[in-house]
Amino acid sequence: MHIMEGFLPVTHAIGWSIASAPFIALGLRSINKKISEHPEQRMLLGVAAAFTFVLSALKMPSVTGSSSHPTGTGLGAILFGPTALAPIGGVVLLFQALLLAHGGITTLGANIFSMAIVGPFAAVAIFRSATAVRLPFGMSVFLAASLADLMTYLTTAAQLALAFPDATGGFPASFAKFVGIFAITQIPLAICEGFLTLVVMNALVRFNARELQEMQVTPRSGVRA
Amino acid sequence: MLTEQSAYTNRWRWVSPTAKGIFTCSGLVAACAATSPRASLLVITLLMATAIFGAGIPITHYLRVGAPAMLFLGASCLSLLVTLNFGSGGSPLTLQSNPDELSRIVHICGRSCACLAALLLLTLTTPLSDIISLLRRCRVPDTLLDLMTLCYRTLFVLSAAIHETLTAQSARLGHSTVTQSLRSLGGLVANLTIQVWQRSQALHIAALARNNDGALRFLEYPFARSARHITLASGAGITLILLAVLIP
Amino acid sequence: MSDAIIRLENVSYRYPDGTAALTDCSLTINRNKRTAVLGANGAGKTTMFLHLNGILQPSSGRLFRDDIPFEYSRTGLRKLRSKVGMVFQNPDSQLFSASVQEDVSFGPMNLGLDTTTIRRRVAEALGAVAMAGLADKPVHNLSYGQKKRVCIAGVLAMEPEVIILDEPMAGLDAAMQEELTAVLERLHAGGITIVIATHDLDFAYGWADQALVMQSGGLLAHGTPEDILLRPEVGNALGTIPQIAEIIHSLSLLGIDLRGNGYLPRTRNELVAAIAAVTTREDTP
Ligand SMILES: Nc1ncnc2c1ncn2[C@@H]1O[C@H](COP(=O)(O)OP(=O)(O)OP(=O)(O)O)[C@@H](O)[C@H]1O
Ligand SMILES: [Mg+2]
Repeated sequence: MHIMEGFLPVTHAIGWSIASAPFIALGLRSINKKISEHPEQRMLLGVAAAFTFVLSALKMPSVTGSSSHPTGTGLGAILFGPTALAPIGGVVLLFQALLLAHGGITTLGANIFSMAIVGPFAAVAIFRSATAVRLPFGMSVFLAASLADLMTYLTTAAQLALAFPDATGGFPASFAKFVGIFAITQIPLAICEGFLTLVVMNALVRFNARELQEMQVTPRSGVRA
Repeated sequence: MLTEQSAYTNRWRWVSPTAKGIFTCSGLVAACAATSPRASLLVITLLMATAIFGAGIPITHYLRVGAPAMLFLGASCLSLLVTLNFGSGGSPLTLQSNPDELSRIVHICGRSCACLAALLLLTLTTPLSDIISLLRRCRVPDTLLDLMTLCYRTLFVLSAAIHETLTAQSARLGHSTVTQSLRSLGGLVANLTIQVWQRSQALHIAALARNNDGALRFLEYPFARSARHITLASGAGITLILLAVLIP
Repeated sequence: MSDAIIRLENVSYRYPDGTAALTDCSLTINRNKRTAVLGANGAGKTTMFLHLNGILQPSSGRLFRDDIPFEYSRTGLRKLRSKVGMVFQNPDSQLFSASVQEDVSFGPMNLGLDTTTIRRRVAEALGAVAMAGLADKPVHNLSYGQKKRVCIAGVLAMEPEVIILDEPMAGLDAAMQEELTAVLERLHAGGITIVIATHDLDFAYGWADQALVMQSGGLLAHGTPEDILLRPEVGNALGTIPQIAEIIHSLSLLGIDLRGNGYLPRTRNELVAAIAAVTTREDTP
C-alpha cells in the first residue's frame, strides 16, 4: 500500500528514509557479495526487479469485485531472499513513482520500509517458521504471502497514524481508524495474493524443479567469466 | 506508460537532466516549505505552468498522467477526514469538523499536490535513462544503478511477453471465471518467473561476449549549454523556494 | 599470416546436464571470408559459436586464433573477446540499456577506451548499420529488425576482426533481410571476417564463400557452397538443397545449360540474368 507523494510531514519523510537506509545498504552489501561469487546474479536481480514491477501492474481477479494488483512481495522474498529485496523493492518503488506517479520521491523511504523491508522479512520469517513446524508447502506459501501483505498494510497504517495521530485518541485511535479503513481493500488483496503466490509456486515446483534449485543460487557451471 | 511518451518527445528533451533535477528538487523543497494554502497553490501553479508552457507538455496529457494520483490523494485525504469514535454511541465513524484539523488537511493536500507537480515536471520531461545517468553523477552505488538500468530495459521485454500470454490465454477462454482467471494468472506468473532466470542467463552471456566483467558502464553524452541551463534552473528554483516561504 | 583466423581441433563439449553438444569437432574459419554454418536444429551451431569467443571452454580438444591456442585467463579472454564479436539471436537478451547510444557504447567502455574514441566508434557503428537517425529513440520503441541492427552496432563498435552472427535473418521480413545483407556486405568489404549460422539455405548458397555443415555435434562437410550443398549426405542432413541449385538442375535435364560462362548462378538475380542470357543466345543464333 503506497503513501502518496508529499503526504507525510517532512520530519516523518526524512525519518523513514533514514530508517530504510541501513536496510538498503545491507541489501546492497549482500548483493555485491553474491555478485562477486556469481557474476550472473547482477543480471538476475535486475531482471527480478523488472519482474516485480511488471507483476505489480497485473490485474488480479478479486473476490469482492474491486480490482487489485499483486505486490509480489511474498513471491520475491521467498525466491530472492529478504535482504536482497530491500534494494530491488526500492528500485521498483522508485520506478513506480517515476513512471506511474504512484507513490513518490518524498515518501519513498516510508514506502520502502513497509513494502520492501517489513513485508519481505515477514514473508520469509513466516515461511521459515511454517516449514519448521511442518505445515504443508502450499499452506506455508499461502500464509507467507498473505500475512506479508497484511504486515505491510499494518505498517502503512502505523506510519500514517504516527504522522496523523487522532486529536483526542492519539496514535491508537488513529491506527485503529486506518487499519479499519484499509481492511476493506487490503484483506481481500492479501487473500488473493496468497492464492496467486500459491498457484505460482505450485506451477514452479511441478514444472521447473531445476530452476527452483537454481534459485538457491547454484550457478550454471560451464560459463566462463 | 504515459510518462514515457512525453519524456522522449517534449521540448526539454535535450535540456540537461541536472538542470531539470535541480529544479524538481527545488520544487519539492518549496512544496514542503509552503506554509499557507495560498503559497501551495502558487507553487502548484508555477510548477504546472513550467511543465505545460515551458516543456510543452499537452495539458490533457498532463492531466491524464496526474489523474490516478489525484484520485489516490482524494481517497487518502478522505481517510484523514473521518475520525473513529469509541463507545460514545451513534455512528462509529464521524466526519472531522474541527476547523484546525480541517485546515491541517487542506495543508497536507496542498503539499501533496505541489510535490506531485514537482515529480511530474521531472518524469514528463526526462527519460528514465537520463535520470539514471543523473543519479550516477550523484554517486549512487553502481549496483543500484545496474539494477535500475536492467530493470528499465527488461520491464518492456517482460510486459510484451505478458501481453502475448494474456492474449493467448483469453483466446482459449482462460479468463472466463474467477478460478480460471486465477489459475491462468498463476500459470502466467510462473512462466514469467522462469523467464527471469533464462533471460538473465542470456543477458549475462551477452555481457561476457562484450567483454564486461563488472558494473555496467555506458558512455555519457554531454548536453548542450548545460551550464547555462543549470544556472537558470538554480535561479528559478531558489526563487520558487523564496516565494513559497515568503508568501503568507 | 595463415588463412585460418580461428581453428577448432577435435573439440568436444558436454553441457552440465550431460548433453554432448559437440563431439570431436574440427573446423577452420578463414580470414576475410564469408562463412555460413549450416545444420539442423540441435546440430551444435550455437554451442560451437559460444566456443569461438571463449564463453564456453571445450571439455576436450583445442581452439586456435591465428594459430595460437586460446588462452582462458582473464587477460586472454579480454583480448579474444575484443577480436571476436558475437551477435546473439534474440535482441532482447543482449541489449542492456534502453538508450541506443548508451548500449552501443557498452562494449567500447568495457575495453577501457577513452571518451573521444568511444564517441567516434559509436557514431561510426551506428552509421554502418544505418541507425544513426534513430540513435535517440529508446530501444523499446524500435522494431525487431532495428533492435537487431543495434546489436550488430554494439559489436561493431568494439572493432573486432571476426563477427559471428547466430541466425541474424530469423524474424526479419524480406526488405529487412536485404538491408542486413547489405550491411554485412559493407562490413565484409571493410575487411571483417563474417561467420553466420543460418537455416536459410538459399541465403547461404548465394552469400557465403565457404560453408560448414554440422551434424550431431561434428563437422559433416566444408567447402564452397556449390561444391558441398548438392552432395546427397549434406542434402540429407539439411533436409533440402538450395532452390536455385534445384532449378538449375531441372533446367539442365531439359538440356538448358546455364554454365555457359563457366559460372553457375547462385542468387535469384544471377539466375534471372543467366536465363535471360540463354534466351537471347537462342534468339540470335
Ligand atoms: N544450456 C544447455 N544445456 C543443456 N543442453 C543444451 C544447452 N544448450 C544447448 N543444448 C543442447 O546441445 C545441443 C546443441 O544445441 P545448439 O543450441 O548448439 O544447436 P543449434 O545447432 O544452435 O540448434 P538451432 O538451430 O536450433 O539453434 C542440443 O542437443 C541442445 O539440446
Ligand atoms: Mg542455435
